[in-house]
Amino acid sequence: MVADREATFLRSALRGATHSFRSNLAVLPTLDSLTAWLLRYRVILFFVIGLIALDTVIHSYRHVWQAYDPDEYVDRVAACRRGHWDLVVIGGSPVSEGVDPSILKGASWQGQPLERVYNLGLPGGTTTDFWHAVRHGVSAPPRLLIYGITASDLNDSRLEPHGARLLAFSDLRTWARERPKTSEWVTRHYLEEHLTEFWKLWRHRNGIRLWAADLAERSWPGLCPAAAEEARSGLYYSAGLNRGDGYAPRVEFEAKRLDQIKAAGGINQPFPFLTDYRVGQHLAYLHRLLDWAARGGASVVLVDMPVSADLECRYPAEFGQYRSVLAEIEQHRGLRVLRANREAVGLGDADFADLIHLNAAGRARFCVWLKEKLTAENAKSTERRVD
Amino acid sequence: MNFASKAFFIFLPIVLLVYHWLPRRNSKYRFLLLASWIFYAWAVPYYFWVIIFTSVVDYAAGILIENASTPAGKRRWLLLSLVTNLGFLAAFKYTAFAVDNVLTLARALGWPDAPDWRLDILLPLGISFHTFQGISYTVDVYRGKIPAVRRFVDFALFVAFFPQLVAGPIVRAVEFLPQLVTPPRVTSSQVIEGLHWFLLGLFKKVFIADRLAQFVDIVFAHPGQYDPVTHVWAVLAYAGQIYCDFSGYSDLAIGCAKWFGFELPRNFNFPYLSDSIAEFWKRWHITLSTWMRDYLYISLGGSRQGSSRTYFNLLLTMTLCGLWHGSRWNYVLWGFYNGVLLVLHRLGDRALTGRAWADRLRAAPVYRLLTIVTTFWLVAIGLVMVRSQTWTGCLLVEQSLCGTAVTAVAPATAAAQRWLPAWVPLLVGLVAAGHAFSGLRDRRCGVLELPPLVRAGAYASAVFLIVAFGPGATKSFIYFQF
Repeated sequence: MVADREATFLRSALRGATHSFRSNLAVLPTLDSLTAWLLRYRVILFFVIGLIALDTVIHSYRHVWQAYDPDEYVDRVAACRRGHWDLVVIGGSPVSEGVDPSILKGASWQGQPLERVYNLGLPGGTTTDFWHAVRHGVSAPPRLLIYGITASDLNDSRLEPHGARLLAFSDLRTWARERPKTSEWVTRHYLEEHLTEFWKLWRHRNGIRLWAADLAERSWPGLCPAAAEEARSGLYYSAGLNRGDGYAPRVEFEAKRLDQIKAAGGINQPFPFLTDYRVGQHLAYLHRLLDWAARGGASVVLVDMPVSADLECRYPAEFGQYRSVLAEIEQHRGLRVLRANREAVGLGDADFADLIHLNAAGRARFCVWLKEKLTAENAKSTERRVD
Repeated sequence: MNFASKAFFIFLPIVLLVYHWLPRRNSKYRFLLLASWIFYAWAVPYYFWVIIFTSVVDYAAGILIENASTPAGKRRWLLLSLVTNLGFLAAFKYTAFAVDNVLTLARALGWPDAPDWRLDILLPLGISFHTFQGISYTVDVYRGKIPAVRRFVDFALFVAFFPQLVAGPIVRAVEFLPQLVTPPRVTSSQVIEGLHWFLLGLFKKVFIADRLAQFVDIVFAHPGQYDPVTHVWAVLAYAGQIYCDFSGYSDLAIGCAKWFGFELPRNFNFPYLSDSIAEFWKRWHITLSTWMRDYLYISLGGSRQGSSRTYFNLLLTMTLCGLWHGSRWNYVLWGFYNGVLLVLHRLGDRALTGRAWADRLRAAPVYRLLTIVTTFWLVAIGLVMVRSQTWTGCLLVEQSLCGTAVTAVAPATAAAQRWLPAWVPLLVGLVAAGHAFSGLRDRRCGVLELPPLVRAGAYASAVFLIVAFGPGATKSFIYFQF
């Protein structure tokens, strides 16, 4: 009875609203005048059809735009998902720039060599983003998961919008439930990132711009040199991402040296990733990651990534807090933490491209050190097993 | 809220949907007023009271003027409205300028301990525009041109109607209020033309103005580093940028208003095709120049009190027009410069009118082309005054524009380089082509006359260019600062 009354009320309300809408907006058609209506609005109709056609064309050439403007998070995660890996290395830009899988390849772990190595480093990410990347990108737990961690990964003041592309709806729900203060932010970015997929022109706009710049510069040299340079850098980066092991260092980090930058007086660039340092919410995702690895039988090693002396001097309290958290995790969860400090690895300012990223020389030194450390860890664990 | 922001593209469809869904006139207008106030308060909520206060005062003043039985009584209420609107404008916009000048003067007159105050007062959104609308309303009621509005919602909507709230056009009560009387209906041509003006405005703003700004900002930041040719291109680019930025905003406002069933007045009519400075001010920011004419120049006596008084009125009106644009001496100089040009034009026009040879000369196409080029050059000289960040930079660019830079500043600019990205001439050419395509044929916009399929293709192409080639982060509209 109540349901009937509600249905009647809804029907009449809907009829009333539709009637008022039609009577007040002379643009809505009645069925018998649909043709006349379409004729009157044919400009808009053609316009909409034109936009749909344009989007279809853009979508069908998406590989072209993506080659110039790769979606590094999605591409890295998707490529990781396609393979089975012995070793997956996760972390932020210190990992994506500083860990070369080809050097780590062959390191021995639990008596067997690690042949298939993937770098799942996400530049600008947080521990929350790395958990989502692992959750969606690692289809089967690897034998070894290395997390190249650094202080900024755990800073709760950091909310990075590009991470929203990796979220599934269930991740969004969890986030909103556990971190209500940032639920509006994450919902907005989740919607923005996912709705973008419905409009291909918007989605690929930067790739189209770079493609056009490259084309124009080839045809008329000097027309748009800056954009063409950006396009070439995009192509290089994209080629790296497509190599198959996730390793795609940015060309600009390769040869830069912090000691030279300091000598030129350029060390004063701000480093916003450690400001207003708070640890807690991202840390919860680290525990989630460790639980996931434990359930899947994957070994986990945390590597405290090397940073420049200048950065540590600038943020002593933040690094102090971070390292105490790291020690606590090591103790409570029985984890192995490799402390890749500068002295241990043998790194100096000449090995850094800036305050936090290793250059090509530093990367080679660090990766060789890491491989040796893993082998040593392997020997220790083998000895323990024999004992 | 910026028209070219993501927030606006969520705000607008929601407001349109609810507005057209609501059944009655009253509820529609109440909702539109609420949406306009939200639009106003979006960026700086704590200034919300400003628009409410001025709206209430002007609304009450209009009724009290109409009800007053004596001319003195009417004048008293008009004065209340003028003092309120101009008081707010002066307090927010000119206090810092006045204090700064008084202190500078005090230091110059031998008071070295004058405090070093740097007032930085944030302007309430669109205050220069809605105060002028309020003044035009009460003056029109005082002059008996329109009856006072009795419904507060109607009046508040006239002041706060969000498409024109921030940067005009400055709508007169006589143009807007009658539209509130008729039931709000949107015709098919309004829907289609709304799309046309909206896309055209967005294209001008995002694709042309914001791109040109990337070149203009760099050159005007350090003009000493660039050679005279680069200076000239920077001035041409700035002329294109400011036109596309401001007329783009007006087009967006006109397009938006059409979707709500309202017609806003035209604000630009291809100003760079003007063949005299007087004509330029009839084509550039039309609603402001007519406002200045009707409420300031005519109130000062216009041209009814002899030649010298007319010239004084012209100079004063244009100087105040410059001051309205910004509380900096650059703007005052620019306004005065335009006043001088108008006086000279009037003198020349008076001297030549009625002479047969002059009429023959004026009829020649070559002469018209020459006057268009000359007028544009004079306008460009004025634009440099507005855009330059320092007087030295201003002088340097002016010299380049006058062709005297090669000899006059050669030593200072010996290391100056030429820098001209190829897209700058392309975009400047596009602005010129737009003027030629429509303005020379005396059309409001030539695209409106194309066959439907071609028009639709042009719109889709515009969307493509805006999205793919507009700068990532859209700059605020230049006229927001006024």
